[in-house]
Amino acid sequence: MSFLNCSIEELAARIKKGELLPEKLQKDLIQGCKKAQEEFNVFISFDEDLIKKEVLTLFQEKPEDGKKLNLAGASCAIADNIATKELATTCASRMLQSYRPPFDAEVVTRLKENGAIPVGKTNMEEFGIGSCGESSFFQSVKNPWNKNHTAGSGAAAAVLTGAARIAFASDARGELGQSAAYCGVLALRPTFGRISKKGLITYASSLETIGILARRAADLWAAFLAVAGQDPEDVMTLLLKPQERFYLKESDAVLPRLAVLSDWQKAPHIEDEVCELFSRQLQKLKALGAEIHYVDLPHFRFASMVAGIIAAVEAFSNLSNYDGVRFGYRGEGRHLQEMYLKTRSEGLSGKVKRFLTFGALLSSSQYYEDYFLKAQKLRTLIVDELAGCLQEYGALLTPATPFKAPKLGSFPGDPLRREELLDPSGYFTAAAGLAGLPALTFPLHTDGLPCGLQLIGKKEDELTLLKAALLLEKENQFAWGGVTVAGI
Amino acid sequence: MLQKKNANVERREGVKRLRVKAEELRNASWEARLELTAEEEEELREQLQVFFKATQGALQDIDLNNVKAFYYPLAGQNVLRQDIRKPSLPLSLTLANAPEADDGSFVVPKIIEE
Repeated sequence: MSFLNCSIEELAARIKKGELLPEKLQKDLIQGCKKAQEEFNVFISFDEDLIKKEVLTLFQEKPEDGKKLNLAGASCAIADNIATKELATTCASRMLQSYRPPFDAEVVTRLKENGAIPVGKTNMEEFGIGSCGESSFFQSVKNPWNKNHTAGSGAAAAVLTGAARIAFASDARGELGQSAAYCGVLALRPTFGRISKKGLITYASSLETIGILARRAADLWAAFLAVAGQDPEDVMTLLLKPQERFYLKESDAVLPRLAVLSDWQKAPHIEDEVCELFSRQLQKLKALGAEIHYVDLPHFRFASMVAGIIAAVEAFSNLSNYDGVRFGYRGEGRHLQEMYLKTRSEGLSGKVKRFLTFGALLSSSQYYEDYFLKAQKLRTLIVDELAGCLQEYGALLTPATPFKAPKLGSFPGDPLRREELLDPSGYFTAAAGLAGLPALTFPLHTDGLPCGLQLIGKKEDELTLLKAALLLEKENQFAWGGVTVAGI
Repeated sequence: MLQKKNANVERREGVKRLRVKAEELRNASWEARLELTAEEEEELREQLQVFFKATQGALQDIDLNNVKAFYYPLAGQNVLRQDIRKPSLPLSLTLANAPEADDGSFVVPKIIEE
């Protein structure tokens, strides 16, 4: 019997009642991981013995042990740039191929405290830079809807296939929302500072946060509550006020007043089908009585470019510690400088090398003021515009991406690859990262590849986005069966 | 003496750059301690050309003179902990991922080439 159709709340209740035995849970989790791996290359690592041990630990917990168990039995995939001490944390890079962190990331610790079962470390873009799906040292993740296309991230593919009920992955310029749209699952990028970044190997410090993927809104909310909140070891975390309930109900579904960009259809490379699907959703929402207003945010269209400039400069700094001295890959060199050069040139992919060189260029005296400093100022305009819009409206509604999942096997000269530094896939998703605002991706399924819509919300108001997602779920029925490999 | 202008315009005339100089690219990759192959360099030059062309309008035409730069989404303040002695990361863990270690130290090639 598959428990995939029940929520995290129901699964936890069934485990507490003894309706699910540890042997069955172990078997289904391992089978799910194996199948997802064989077919779609979802994971970089998973360990069957570790999964069995985590399940046994869950079933041996007694109420007096003090664990919360709100996510009891929920299989959880962790992107491979989030530290786990029992499995390597590679960032999908040759540079960190065999790196074992000395501690778990705070998000992993809190997941275990709530009874979730970490099942494996998912494949991703090298160091989380982008979502084109072609820079991983461990080969690309294939999209379960169509293997010739990218999944964007293994975390999204893990949730789509059922190998994991929830997944955690980083988001700087909208990579989380993009991969969720490519795979047709939900994603929540929370407010910057909501989730501790202790243990996250970040590439863009002022943009990046940890986000969550799931198949249902209620599961996103439960996972969010389990991990969000202050962490004394990450001083930039926000206090999470106590919530009325841990689990959302269908009756919580409600849409806020929505703003929609008046020029959303002018996004570069936007596909006709994406336009059609998004327009249809707008009509549906209007028919349900939603209040939708078109707004002009004249600087929004520069968000992806601005995020790209800032991320490249920050990555140039953040990735400078990969030098082969204390950990990671080491290239051969007759002397220290040559070792640094060989280590970094051989340990990093072409895409990351181009990105870091770009960041170094923009940090130089000839370019710093004209590009990086100006980008920081343009960021202010974008942030202020969003803040002004969200004072009047509950959320800004946009397509998640201008196009569906790109094909794998791109080469120099491909239109999207030529524009790599401008990051066209982040046209709609980059702004939330610049402003540190929460954003939710909701899938729009079709006969072929899915796409998604995005809701950007007010600071620290993830609940409004999740309540809106509950309503969208009611109005959109998904057929997951075709891509589900196994799982629980 | 009159100076001829070409596509590579000097910085003092603002953001008009359309093609990065080869020397600038090599300096940048050196700063990042990276060796780009000829193919990687050529691909990056093309990408940069597309980038510079696309950013002309935004960065040149928008008046950003009286706008403050936005550095970080949260206002931070320095945090101090109690002055209580705590153990650091044990040496065994510190060296556990080292490519080469000896006698409690990381081992690297000599600094100066002979």
